[in-house]
Amino acid sequence: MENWLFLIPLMPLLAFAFDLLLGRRFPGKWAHAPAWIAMAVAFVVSLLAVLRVARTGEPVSQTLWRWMPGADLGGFDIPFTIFIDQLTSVMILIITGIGFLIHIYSAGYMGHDPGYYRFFAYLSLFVFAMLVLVLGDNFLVMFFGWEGVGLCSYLLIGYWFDRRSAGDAAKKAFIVNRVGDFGFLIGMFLLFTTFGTLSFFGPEGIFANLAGKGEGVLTAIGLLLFVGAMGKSAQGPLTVWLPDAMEGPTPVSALIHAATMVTAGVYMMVRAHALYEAAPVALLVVLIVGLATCFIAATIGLVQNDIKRVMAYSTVSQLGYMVFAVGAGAFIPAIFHLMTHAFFKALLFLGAGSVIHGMHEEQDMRKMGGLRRSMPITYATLVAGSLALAGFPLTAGFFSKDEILVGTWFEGYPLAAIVGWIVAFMTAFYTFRMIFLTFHGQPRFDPEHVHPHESPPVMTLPLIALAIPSLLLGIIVGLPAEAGPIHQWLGPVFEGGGGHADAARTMAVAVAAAEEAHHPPAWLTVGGFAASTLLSLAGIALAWLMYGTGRISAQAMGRRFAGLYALFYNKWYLDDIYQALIVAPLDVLARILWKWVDAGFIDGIVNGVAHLTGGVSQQLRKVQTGVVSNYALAIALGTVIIVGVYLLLGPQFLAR
Amino acid sequence: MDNPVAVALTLEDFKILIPHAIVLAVALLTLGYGAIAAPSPGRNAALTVISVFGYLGAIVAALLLTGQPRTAFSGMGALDDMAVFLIVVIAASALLTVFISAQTIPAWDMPLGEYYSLLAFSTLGGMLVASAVDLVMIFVGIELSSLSVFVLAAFAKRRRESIEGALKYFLLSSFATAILIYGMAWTYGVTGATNLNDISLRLATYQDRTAPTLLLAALLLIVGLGFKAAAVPFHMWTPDAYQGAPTPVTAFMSVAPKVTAFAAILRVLVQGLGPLREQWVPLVIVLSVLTMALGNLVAIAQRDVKRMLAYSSIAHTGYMLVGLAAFRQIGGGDESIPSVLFYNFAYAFMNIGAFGVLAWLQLHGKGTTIDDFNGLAVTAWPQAAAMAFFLFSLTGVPPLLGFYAKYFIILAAIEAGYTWLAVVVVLLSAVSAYYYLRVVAAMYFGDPAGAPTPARTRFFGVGLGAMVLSVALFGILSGPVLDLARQWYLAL
Repeated sequence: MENWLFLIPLMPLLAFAFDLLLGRRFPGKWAHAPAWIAMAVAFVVSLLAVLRVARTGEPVSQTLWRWMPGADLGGFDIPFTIFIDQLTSVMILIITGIGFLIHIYSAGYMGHDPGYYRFFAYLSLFVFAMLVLVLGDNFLVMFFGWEGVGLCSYLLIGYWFDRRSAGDAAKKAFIVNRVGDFGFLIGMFLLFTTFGTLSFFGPEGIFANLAGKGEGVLTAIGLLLFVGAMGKSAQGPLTVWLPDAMEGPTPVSALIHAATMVTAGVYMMVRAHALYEAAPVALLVVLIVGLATCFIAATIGLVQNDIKRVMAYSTVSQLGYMVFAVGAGAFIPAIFHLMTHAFFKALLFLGAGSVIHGMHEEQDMRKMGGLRRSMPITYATLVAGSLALAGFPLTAGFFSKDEILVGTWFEGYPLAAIVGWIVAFMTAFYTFRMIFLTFHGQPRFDPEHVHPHESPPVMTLPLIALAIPSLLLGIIVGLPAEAGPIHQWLGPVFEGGGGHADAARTMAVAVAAAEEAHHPPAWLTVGGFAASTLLSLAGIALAWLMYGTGRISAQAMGRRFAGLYALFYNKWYLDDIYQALIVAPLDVLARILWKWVDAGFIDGIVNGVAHLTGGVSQQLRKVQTGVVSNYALAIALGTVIIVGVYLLLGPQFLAR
Repeated sequence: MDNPVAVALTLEDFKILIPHAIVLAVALLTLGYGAIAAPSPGRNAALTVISVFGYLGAIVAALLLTGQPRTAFSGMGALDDMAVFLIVVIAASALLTVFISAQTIPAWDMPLGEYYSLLAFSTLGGMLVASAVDLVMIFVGIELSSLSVFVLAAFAKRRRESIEGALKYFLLSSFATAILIYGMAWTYGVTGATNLNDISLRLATYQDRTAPTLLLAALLLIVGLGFKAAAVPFHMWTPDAYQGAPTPVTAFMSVAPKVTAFAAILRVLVQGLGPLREQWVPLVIVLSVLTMALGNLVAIAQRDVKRMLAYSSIAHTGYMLVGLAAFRQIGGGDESIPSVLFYNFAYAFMNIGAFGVLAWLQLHGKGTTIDDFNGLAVTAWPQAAAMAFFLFSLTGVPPLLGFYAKYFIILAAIEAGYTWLAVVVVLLSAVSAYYYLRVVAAMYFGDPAGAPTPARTRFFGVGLGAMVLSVALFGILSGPVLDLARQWYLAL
């Protein structure tokens, strides 16, 4: 088995190369075929690997080659190793499994696009990079994937590059991510100088050598890595790119900006949980940032009118749940929610794509309504996804969100859990606001020109395939609460069985294991269930009253809370604040630097140096006279000088 | 070892010559067949196929003979693992040259049979040097390699520059050869041996290693070999000869004779004069700095890409010399020689690739100045992309092959305590970015000045594709290649 692991990332890479080089020449539209095959093979190999992990309880790994050999100089020796443990298993199954469904869906959604082959090439490249990100067993390989998914995200957001807004959104995503990546990079430098390695595991690895390192430096590393996570997972101040990223094709939003890439930050922090546990201050920052993001994004989601933007803010908000769960030390609930969220949010995006597809590229919910009759399958599956997102009892989202809140309370942050419940209420509200606005009521579009229709089976089948786990996954892996199969599965990662045995000997993990061992008290579990149920139902009910029956006037509500409405509608003025605080001063600074420092000073130096080298170069060029006797003279003179210096002054003269 | 008077030849001895014999067969076959058969596309294709399979066979044979260091012919030659590595590099550079020559040479009305034959003889010379453990063998190999290249350089015999460059190369080379053989004579005079292992053993017993006679011998050897490797100030033949020669020949002579020269340098200085390390390393450092500086600085002033690449190849000699300067001892824990070997390997792919694109342009009715590259990305994107690959690699941009080559050289220099030398390498690499990337800029941002005229280029595609793939793939897989270089060096 170990010898075949390389197929998991290799297959999408081959599909990428194939599509990019030959896709244009394909007869008809067959560019999806290599991508589909690659995803299927990658999924099967992943599944086999995961079954092996399940059977033995041990991680599997395959070292492909030494990537950066340099062991003799301070141990900078980076192997390219594929490593699969229980945590990676969850990720690769999500990436290849949901990725496969989205690939199928894309063939229908992108069917009319002239850049069909390019789309599948980028999508495959993305899957490759994402797999490398989660499969690496050291920070550098992870960073390679990290940068790769950033690049693909850029390419795919800007896929319709002839639209100016798409190009701008792509650049925004890329630049904001650069800020995060910069933090990640510095964090890696600090890791290397502190530990002398970038490997996760093994007796020389980072996680086995946390003991004895100063808490200050660990906190700094944790915070710097978190800056990277903020960029990728759109948290805190770096959240601004994700809503704009909806300019990309909808399958991209589903795969990259909902199910996989944006969870990379959460994955990274859970992977480095031992490090974070040894740096409680960093964890606290993670908690606060995650919670704030969770809350703010949900409030913005309340008032959005673009169906994809509702999803986008809900994604940011749900990622906030995961991040603050990590911050509270509730790692398993964080991954549990990551998993359920991947299913139901991919479903929601694909469903939204189906609606947009059926409505002839209309995204404004105010121009929809009453679609449930013309799009029954889309409606049914979207409701399933919405129930999961809203945390309706017994759906997947209910269990995972509830575990996060109970876990956070239990880890000692009851206030955070209460905020989380408030957000849960808002989530239920805005989710069903979307459902009622889109599918219920009277049609608000012009039936003369728009003929909403159900999407073809190639699009609806993936919706159905995703709807089932969105509803049932929680019951399957989440019961009994706080001790379900997901806990048993991920437990070894944190308790340190099997291949993590060495890591487990560190103090931090031992403490974590002790904490995992005892469960939240029954009253908290039951109370959490009750609160989640009530708030979810309340949110749905309020949405029904406002948008389903119109018994409460949405306009009146908007007028009554005009200030709040404006605040939410303008996204808490985040973009404006950036414009005023960062972009405008930077602009001024750039002008000053350009006019004075760059044009005057730097260019002076550069041009001077260039002029000097150019001049030297021109002079040296003249030595090349073309006359052969001059050349011979140079050789002879050179020889005489060398011999002379050696014999008269000795070789050590040159060494000085 | 002391008294190899009783010459005993066994069949085993000839085993080490299998790769050489294959290349010799290529030389004779192409010469004979080219002379007998009437010129036709079919004949040319057959000649190319013979050459391709010959070099592939030589590479495979050499690789099959690894891991069992064999000394033969009374210690004159050895197929140790370093020899195998160098033979593979030299044969591979000949192979790649065949791909870019197959259509250019006939298109320019040059006899392909003789061309391939000379190419094979030169390759054979290089391979002999790689597997020689004796000054005399090294000398014979170098001369075989050089003489064939003189003729190749003059191959465009109707062009004045071709004749002129070749003649200059020949005259100066004779001069340098005289110095080299003088050095060999001194070495023999002092140590009483021509076998490198014997020389090394005797030198190790000397108390005074700064005796003038010893120094003189070492210096003359360095001058002679430095000329072959195009080290400053013995480089002056390079730009003229490179520019005059037909471009595929330039591609070959910028790589194979250089690798041959480094094979000789490694054999003579490391295996033979290893005990004199403290004496020759300072000179190598000085030469490396001069070579890097001059090569890079003068390349800036060139508008002609061919001449620019000629100067840049001088700069690359300088980088390789840095690796040599980091030499400490034969044995473990020394990254210097593996880094030099790796650099030669990397250099072969990216440099022949760059010249290959140049030859492709010429075949399509363009010139070799930077203006001829304007807008190539629009008119011929695969070639432009390939050229960008090679130039990025030559600059040392990760994750391409050239980056790792420089990276290992820099590691070796730092490890040896020459941090300042590593800084020089980095600074001058930055300078090189200027003139390499100028070509990339011309290709991607320049306005296309007329599409290239179409021409048959089947082999070009294969060759350039192989080189692009190698530059990318061996970059990522640099670890295993370096491990081979390292292990093969240790088996010396």
